[in-house]
Amino acid sequence: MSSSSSSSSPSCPKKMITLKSSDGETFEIEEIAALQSKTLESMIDENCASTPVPLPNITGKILAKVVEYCTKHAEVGADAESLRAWDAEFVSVDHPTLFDYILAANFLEIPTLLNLACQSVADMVKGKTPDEIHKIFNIKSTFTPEEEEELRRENQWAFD
Amino acid sequence: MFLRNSKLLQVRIKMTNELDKINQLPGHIMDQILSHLPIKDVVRTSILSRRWRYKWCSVPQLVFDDQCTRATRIPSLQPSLHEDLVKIIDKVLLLHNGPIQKFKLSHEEFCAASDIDHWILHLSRVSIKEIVLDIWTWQYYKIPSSLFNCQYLIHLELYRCLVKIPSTFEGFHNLESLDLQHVQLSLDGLEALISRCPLLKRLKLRNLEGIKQINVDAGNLEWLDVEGAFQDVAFGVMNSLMSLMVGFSDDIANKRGSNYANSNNLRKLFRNLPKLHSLILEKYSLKYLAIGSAPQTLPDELVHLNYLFTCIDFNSVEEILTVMCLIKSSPELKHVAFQCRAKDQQTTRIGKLADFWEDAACCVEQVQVVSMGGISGSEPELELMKFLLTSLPNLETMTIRPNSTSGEGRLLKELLQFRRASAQAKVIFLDPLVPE
Repeated sequence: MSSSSSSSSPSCPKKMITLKSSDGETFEIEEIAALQSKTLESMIDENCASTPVPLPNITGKILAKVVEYCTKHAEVGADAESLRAWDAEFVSVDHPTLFDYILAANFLEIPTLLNLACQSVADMVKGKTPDEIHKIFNIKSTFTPEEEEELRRENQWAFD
Repeated sequence: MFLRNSKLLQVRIKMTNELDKINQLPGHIMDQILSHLPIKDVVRTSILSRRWRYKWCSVPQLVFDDQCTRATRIPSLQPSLHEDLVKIIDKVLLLHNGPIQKFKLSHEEFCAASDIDHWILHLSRVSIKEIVLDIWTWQYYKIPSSLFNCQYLIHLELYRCLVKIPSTFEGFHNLESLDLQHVQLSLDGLEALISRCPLLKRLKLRNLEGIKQINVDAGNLEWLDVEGAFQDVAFGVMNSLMSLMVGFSDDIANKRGSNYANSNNLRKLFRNLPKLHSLILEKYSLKYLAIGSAPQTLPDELVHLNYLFTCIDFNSVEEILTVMCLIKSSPELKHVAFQCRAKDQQTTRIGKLADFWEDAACCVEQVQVVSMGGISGSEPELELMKFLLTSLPNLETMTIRPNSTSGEGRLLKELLQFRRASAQAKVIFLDPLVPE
C-alpha cells in the first residue's frame, strides 16, 4: 500500500502512469484518465502500474492519440455538444488508423472509444455498394466470380 | 543493398497488413460494427470476405423499416413495397442463425396480418427479448397468442394493435418496459397484463381506445406515462416511482356524481408515491386533480419532488389552489413550469384571486426556476407572475414564453413594475413557438 496515495489533499500532485508503446516510446497519462481503460483500471487496483506499462500491440503514434482521447474524456464539466464535435474530429482519420483505434480500444478495454470507432466504420460502410466498400478498405475479394454470383443471388434484395 | 531490400520488405508487409485490417478484426468487434448498420447494409457485408460471409446471420438486432425497401416515388409501385418487405423479412429470418435479441417492424406501407403471425411464432422460439411493432396503415393488427409465449421479453412496444390476453397467459416474468399506444385492449386485459409482469419498471400507455379508467398497480414501476381520453386514474402503491406523466386529453366533465364529491383527487393520487422526483401534468390533468376541495398541503410530503410541469387554466381558482398545494407539499421542488392550456379565456373571478394571494406566500421558498409558457399577458397570468416574483426569495430564473410577439411590450411593462424578493432573479423572454 503506497503511503503517498492520499487523494483528499488538493495540493497533492496528480498521479501519473507511464505507458510504453511497441516501438519504445513512453507516454504519461493521468491516473484518472487511465481509469477509462478497464485493463489499466484493474492494473491500478492491483498496484502493478508503478513501472511503465508495456503495450506491445500499440504503436507510439496510436498510443499518443489514445492518451489524448482518455484525457479529453476525463475532463470535468465539458458540455455534451462540444464533446460530440471533438469526438467527430477525433475519428476523421484514414481507415487504417481507425482500425488501429479499434484494436487499441479493444485491447485496453475502453468501451466509449471502441463504440465511437465502430460507429465510424459503420458510417463508412452504410449505403455503399460492395465495390465501393472494397475500394474504401482496399480489400481484394477472395471470392471467385462464381462464388460472388451465388452470394449476390442468395441475398438479392440487399444488392439491388 | 541488403538493408534496402529488408526495408522494402517491411514496407510491403505494412501495406498488406493495412490492406487486410478489416479482415483482421476479432469476431465480437465485427458484431459491434454490424450493430450500427441498417439491415440492408448488414446483409451486404456478406460479400466482403469469407470471414464476413455469414457473420451477418448472427446479428442480434433486426430492424425492418422504410430503409429496407427501395425508395420509390412512383405510386403504382407502392403495393410491391409491401410484398418486397414480406419477402425480405421471410428471407432474413430463414437465414438467420442463433438468438434474436430485438425485432422491430415499423414500415409505413406494411399492413399484412398473417405474415406477422408467422414471424412472431418464429421469434417466440428464438428467445426474443425485445419486440417493436408499429402498424402505420390500414387496420389494427390482432396480436397472435404466440406473442404471449415469449417468456424472455424485456421490452414490448405496440402501436395500432388489438390485444386480447389469452386466459392461459402466465405473464411476462422478465418484462421491464411496456409501451402501448393506440392499442385496443379491455380494462380487464390491461389489469391482467400489468399484474402478471412483476419486474415492470417502465410503462407508457397512450390513447388506449375504449378504456375510460386507468388503473395501474405495479409495485416496481420507476417511470409511468399515461395519456388518453379517460376520466379517472387510480394508482396502487408504487414505492419506486420516480417519474410520472399524466395527460387527460378530454375535458373533465364539470358535474361529477356524489361519489366524487367528498374525495379529493389530488390527495388520492399522491397517497402512494413517496419517491416521486418529476411530475408532468399535461392537458386537463390539473383540472382533474382540482376536483374535490384541495387541501392546504398533502398529508404526506412529496419529499423528493424536484420538477413540476403543469398545463393550467390561469382563471381557475381551484387549479391554482391545487398547484399551490403541490408546491407547498414539496420541500425539494426546484423547478416549476406552467403552460397555458389553450382555450377561450374568461375574465371572471379576478377579485377572488387578488385576495387569495396574500395567504399563499408561505412554504414556497424552495423554488429556484420558474417557466411560463403560452403567455398572452392576461390579468390572471400577471397576478401569478407577480406573486411568484414577490414570494420566491431563492428564485434564480424566470423564463417567459409569450404566445405571440404582439403583446410583448405591454407584458414587459407590467413585469418591470413587480417587486422581486430575490436579488439574483433573472427574467428571460423566449421567442414564441412557431406553430407546426
